[in-house]
Amino acid sequence: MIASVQNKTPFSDAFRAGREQLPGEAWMRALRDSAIGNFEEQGIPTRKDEEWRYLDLKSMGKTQYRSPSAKPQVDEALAKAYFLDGTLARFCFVDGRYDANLSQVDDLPAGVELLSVAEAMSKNESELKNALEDSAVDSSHPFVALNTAFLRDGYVLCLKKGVQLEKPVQILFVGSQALENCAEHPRHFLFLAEEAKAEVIECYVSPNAGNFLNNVVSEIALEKGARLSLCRVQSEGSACSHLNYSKVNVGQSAHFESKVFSFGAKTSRNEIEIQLSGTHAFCSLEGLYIGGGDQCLDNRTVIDHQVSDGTSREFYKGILGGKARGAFSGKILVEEGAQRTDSEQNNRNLLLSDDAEADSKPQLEIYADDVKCSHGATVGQLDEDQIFYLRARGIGEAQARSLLTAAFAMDLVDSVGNENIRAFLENQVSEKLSQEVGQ
Amino acid sequence: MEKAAMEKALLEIRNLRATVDGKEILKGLNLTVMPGEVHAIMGPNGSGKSTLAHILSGREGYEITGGEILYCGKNLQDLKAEERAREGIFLAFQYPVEIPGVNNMYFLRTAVNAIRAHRGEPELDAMDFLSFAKAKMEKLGMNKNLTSRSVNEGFSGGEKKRNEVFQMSVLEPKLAILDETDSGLDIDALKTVAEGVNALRAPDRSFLVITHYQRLLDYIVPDKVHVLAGGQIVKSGDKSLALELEERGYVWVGNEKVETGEGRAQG
Repeated sequence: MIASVQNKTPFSDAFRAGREQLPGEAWMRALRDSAIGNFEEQGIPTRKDEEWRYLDLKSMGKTQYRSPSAKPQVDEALAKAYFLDGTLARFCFVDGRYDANLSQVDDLPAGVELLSVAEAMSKNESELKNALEDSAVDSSHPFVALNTAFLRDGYVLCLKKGVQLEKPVQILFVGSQALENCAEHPRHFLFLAEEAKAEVIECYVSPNAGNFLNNVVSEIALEKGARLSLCRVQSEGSACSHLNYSKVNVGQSAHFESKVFSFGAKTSRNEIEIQLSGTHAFCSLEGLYIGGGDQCLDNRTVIDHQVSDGTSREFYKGILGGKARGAFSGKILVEEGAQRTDSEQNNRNLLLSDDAEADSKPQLEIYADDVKCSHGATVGQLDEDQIFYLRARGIGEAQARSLLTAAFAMDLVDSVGNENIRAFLENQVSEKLSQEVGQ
Repeated sequence: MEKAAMEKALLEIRNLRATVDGKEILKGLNLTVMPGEVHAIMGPNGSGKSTLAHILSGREGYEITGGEILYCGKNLQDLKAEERAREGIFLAFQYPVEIPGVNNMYFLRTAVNAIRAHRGEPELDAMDFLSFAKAKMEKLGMNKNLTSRSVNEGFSGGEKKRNEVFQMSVLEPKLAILDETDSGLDIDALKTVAEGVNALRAPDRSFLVITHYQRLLDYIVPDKVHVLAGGQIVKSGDKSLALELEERGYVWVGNEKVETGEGRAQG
């Protein structure tokens, strides 16, 4: 049954027109139908909505998004330029669809499952069904609902108890010109059983793509003692919208680390909601957003300390030039009983032009009495004393500025343990900075 | 060496007047430094010592209202701070700035290459530079771990000053200005810094050693000593002048012009 139309959006017609072509069994169709109804009920958020006040989605409402072609044209050279060395496996998607030729999954050890959502759906896997049904129960997030309605592919990574990966897994999303006016809705599932350990790097690149929407949703669960390090690099084409929402459940003594590097897209939003659901759980959320032109880069995090002895660390940095706008809103919720919570949040912004804007919104809600929570936010410019010091040694002013700007950015890169990932990120950051500050 | 070239002044300051925020700090200062000479500029707080150092280095925020500064015969005012550095002027900062995230060696290599490019010389690559810099470090007895750290970040007072001297030795200036390099140093650190400076003394390199105390001049022995007070050089002499000053105090030079507060120069 299709739910009654509350707010007709451009997605409604596309859904009805393409409904029969979307994959999945009857249960999946039922989920999709209820999800599109849910989305229509909520509508595309506007800036009047507090949670969406930094992001202008008006143009989204005016675009008639299509589904990407089932036979994407693969730009192998582009994809290969983003292949990381020293990985355990590579999972590559072109225009939203899994591409086996560009992927490399031969060396996965026992106890690791890595497959595409399309394959999981075709096998009608019950875990997938359960996960999707669970998330549908409380999808108060409009774009999670929209993702459920349209989802077609993505990746599933499951590690059995005690399985520890020594090398990272790379997930690569390459977008082509054919994505013009398309919307893709990748859905990822990461599940680490007790004491499992993995490092994943997700890259979203589409330098030649025009206006399209990439609406990514991830569901992540870490069981007791599991450790996941997740690094994301978003360098999509300058005309597109990139929305990325993750929900992460961190169990007892589990350890979740996220690093988000946002460089591309005209409009982007990175959203991470963490539930520290077991005692002694730990999460570290770091982000670096660099924007110029008329880019808008929005970051939203929620860390829910549900039980005692949890630790959360948050450090987001923005570098904004041109007329770019960057936003960070970070909510820390310490529930009643979440005693001995230890939480630190920090957001620092560097403005490179008079027209750039940075917004920072810390939100602390604390219902326990024995907690340690700190937060800080700064918005500033380059330090004139530092610039002079460099100039007094013969370094030209423009070069001094770019050196200092890179220094501001690089500490989040330097803390990456894996050498190959770090070198890759250094390149990405330098390249983006050279566009924005003319290094 | 050609005698005629040696006799040309490296630095010639003529009747220099300068203001900060409308307040006159230098009030007709004259100074001539020949190649290879070490000049000490002494004076009480607020006499304009640091202002002079900053003006020579090209720092913004000072207005020159009269007189001129000739460096190698060229008008210094036409050059930006980085151009002065490339032409061989080096300021050892009183308060070296910490620059987190910029590696000390990377910073220095960038500086060296900026200067080399200015001279039309090829750039040094990382390997060449490292061996060049390491030799300099050994000479100065510097702790090698300073190379892997960010510029001055977390350095002790002594390490910062030593890093200034190290930079000086790498950049090989023609005119080195030491702005109160002795401030905040204990006697051992002072000795090492002075040894570093002495090792750099050369016939084609001049020094302007700015200090409040005579102590530093026990170790860096100057050719000339000047007393700066009230924005002017009020007395000049040889190294014995410094000792006399130490004994008798600045009041002795008879300057009623001494003002308090060095304004921007301290900041």
